Amino acid sequence: MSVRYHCSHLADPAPPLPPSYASSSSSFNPLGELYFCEECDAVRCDLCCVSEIASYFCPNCTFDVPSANVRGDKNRCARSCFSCPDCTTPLQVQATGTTEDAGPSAPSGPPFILICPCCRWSSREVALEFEKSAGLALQLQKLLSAKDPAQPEFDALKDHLDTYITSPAPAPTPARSASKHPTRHISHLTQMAAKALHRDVPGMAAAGAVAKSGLRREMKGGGERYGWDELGEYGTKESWRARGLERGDEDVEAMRRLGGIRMGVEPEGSSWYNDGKRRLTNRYPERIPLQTKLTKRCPHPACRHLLIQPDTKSTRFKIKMVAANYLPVVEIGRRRRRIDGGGHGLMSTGSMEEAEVRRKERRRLRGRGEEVDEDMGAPIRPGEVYTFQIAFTNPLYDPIQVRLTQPTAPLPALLPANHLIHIPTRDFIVNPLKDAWSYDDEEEYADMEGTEMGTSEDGSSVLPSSRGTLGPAAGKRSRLSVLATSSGGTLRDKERRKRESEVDKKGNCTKVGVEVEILPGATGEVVFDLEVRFTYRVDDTDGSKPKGAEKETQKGKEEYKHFTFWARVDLGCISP
Amino acid sequence: SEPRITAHSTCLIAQDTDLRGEITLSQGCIVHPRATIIAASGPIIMDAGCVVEENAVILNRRKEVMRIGKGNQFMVGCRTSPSTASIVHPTVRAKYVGVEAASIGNHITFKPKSKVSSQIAVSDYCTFGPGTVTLASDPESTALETLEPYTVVYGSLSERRKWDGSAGETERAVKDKEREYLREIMPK
Repeated sequence: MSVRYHCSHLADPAPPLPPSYASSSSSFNPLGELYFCEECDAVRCDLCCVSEIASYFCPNCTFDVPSANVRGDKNRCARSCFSCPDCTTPLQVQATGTTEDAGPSAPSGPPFILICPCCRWSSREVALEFEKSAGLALQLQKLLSAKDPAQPEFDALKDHLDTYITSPAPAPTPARSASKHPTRHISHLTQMAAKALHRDVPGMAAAGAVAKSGLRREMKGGGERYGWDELGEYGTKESWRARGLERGDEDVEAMRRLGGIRMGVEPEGSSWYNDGKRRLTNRYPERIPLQTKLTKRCPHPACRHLLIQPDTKSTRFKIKMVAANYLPVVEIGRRRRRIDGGGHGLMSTGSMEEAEVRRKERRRLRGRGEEVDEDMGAPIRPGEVYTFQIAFTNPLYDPIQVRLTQPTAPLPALLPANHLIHIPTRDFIVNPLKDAWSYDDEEEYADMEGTEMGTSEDGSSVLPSSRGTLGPAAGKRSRLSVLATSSGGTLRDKERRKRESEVDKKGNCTKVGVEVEILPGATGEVVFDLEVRFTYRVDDTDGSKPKGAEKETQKGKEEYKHFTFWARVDLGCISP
Repeated sequence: SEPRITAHSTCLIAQDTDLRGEITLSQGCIVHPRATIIAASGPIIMDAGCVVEENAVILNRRKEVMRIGKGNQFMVGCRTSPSTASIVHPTVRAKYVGVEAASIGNHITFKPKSKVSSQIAVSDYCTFGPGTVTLASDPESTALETLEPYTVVYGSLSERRKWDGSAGETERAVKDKEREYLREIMPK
């Protein structure tokens, strides 16, 4: 049960492929996901819009992170937002210590811990306590980097090699360097680096040792190098033997024999997969990843106008051109099933003439036939006739005239249709959107059954008298009475007329009936496309009109603009 | 039968509550409006400082005494079903579906809309997260399952884990403050 709108992406608007083509489904989106470009007068969807990142923010503390800091913070919140390793909810900071003046009632003061409000995970389980209650990310980073030997090792190695790289290279002896240019020593470095990388034993300490042993080999081998002699030996802080990585080579061989498994190292504490249970006990809480606010633009190369621009400071938008503000909202509902015999004999063909015959039968039997209200989620049975109501809600401040048709598809359907559609009223008007307080009494009165209190403009209330018996009153009221009598004096008359025309207008929403006949023996989903063409009046009121001569023609300068869009209505699946 | 409520003088019982049977409330208990405590067959004894919030249902169908410990919090809409079957068919039999656990310990929090099956005896310091459904691990057996103390039931899949008690004093302090606040506000 859904109504989705067609976006022709950048092509000229054209009827979409019929529903039986699976490829057509990508162009249909619910109205809430569509935008509208006023310049191009076209519907745009998420797939065709150009998105740019407007700003980054943390979903937990809603702090707006300046774009410059985002990369340095590794796309995570740099303040105190962490997610629980067990259940991924944001953690809360709680004080566990006591200060002198607080007394025994409530602890408030260092040390601070993180606690999960959902699963009661506590950072004490990983022995994590903080001194200050703010800026926890920084404190955690300091704690973690102190334990990890890779970073200081890398820094020391870099310092050591810096002396080589930055110090002026000694003039190469011509004997060796005749054909080589001075950049040769860099390729040497890369050779060493490549050799070091071939040993995939984790830990920089090992690589340092390899470089060391490589160096020694080179020195002995007397290969071509520049300046290596000057470079002293690098002493690692931690020997890889001490760390027990001696067996590294054996482990590598064992893993190679496993075969077919990609060797990858998962760093401790990272958990970038989100499914399943993560029951490792020594997991650290992760900083919460930042999310982005996007700006969307029209994709048309000549247009490029902004469709969506979020406001950095708040949750609102500076520019918000959504399709719901331009296109009528189409909804389908109120399903009813006829129970005067859905099948007059077995209809094997869905030919139009037979359908017409059947429809005439139904209309004849309308007085005697009954309709049963059904839930929209109930299964659809073949061989039955259902009636629905399609509601059109007008978002514009002008009334629109709507015409519904069944579109002519560019290609014939792949499967024979399993249903027949009949729309008794194809042309109708939808009233404009008005502010709640400026609704005219006439509309209220004509539609509601007289149980509501209408108010006339002078503030006095209009009593819900029965149709047409209003006493002498202000001009508005007399107009009201005229309308009341003309729009169907008795309740029964009004209902009858409504049923015949099947058009129900209320405020800026108009509902029309649709009859869907499911063919017997049909299977699959009941999906059909509707072509909606609406016409609205556009007052040509630019200030660019020259004064004087144009003034007489002002009244006649109303333009009528048309807009056509296609909607796909999905009524559900047929179940036998 | 007439409700026979024995309440300590510091208890606060709202008027719009549904209390039936023999109920004893120790000091400092607070019963919100629209709460339901039914001692259908046997009496219910609540120890000090319990808070029963709106739409919570506590029901004792058995003839034995149902003892509820101190400092418990039955939040909005919490209840248990009489048997595991009626979690699936909520309209079966019972007009009232209430907390029917065999015994309830101290300092337990039943978060809103949590359901605990009657086969479970709840130990001290347990927490039942909002919307969780706690069934006995072995639904076939009819034996009583005692939850370990400090168990937390959480998440949409009602997983369980242990709590190490961190920030427990903070929580208790917060709850005490809540109780004081209720005592001030509710009479108004």
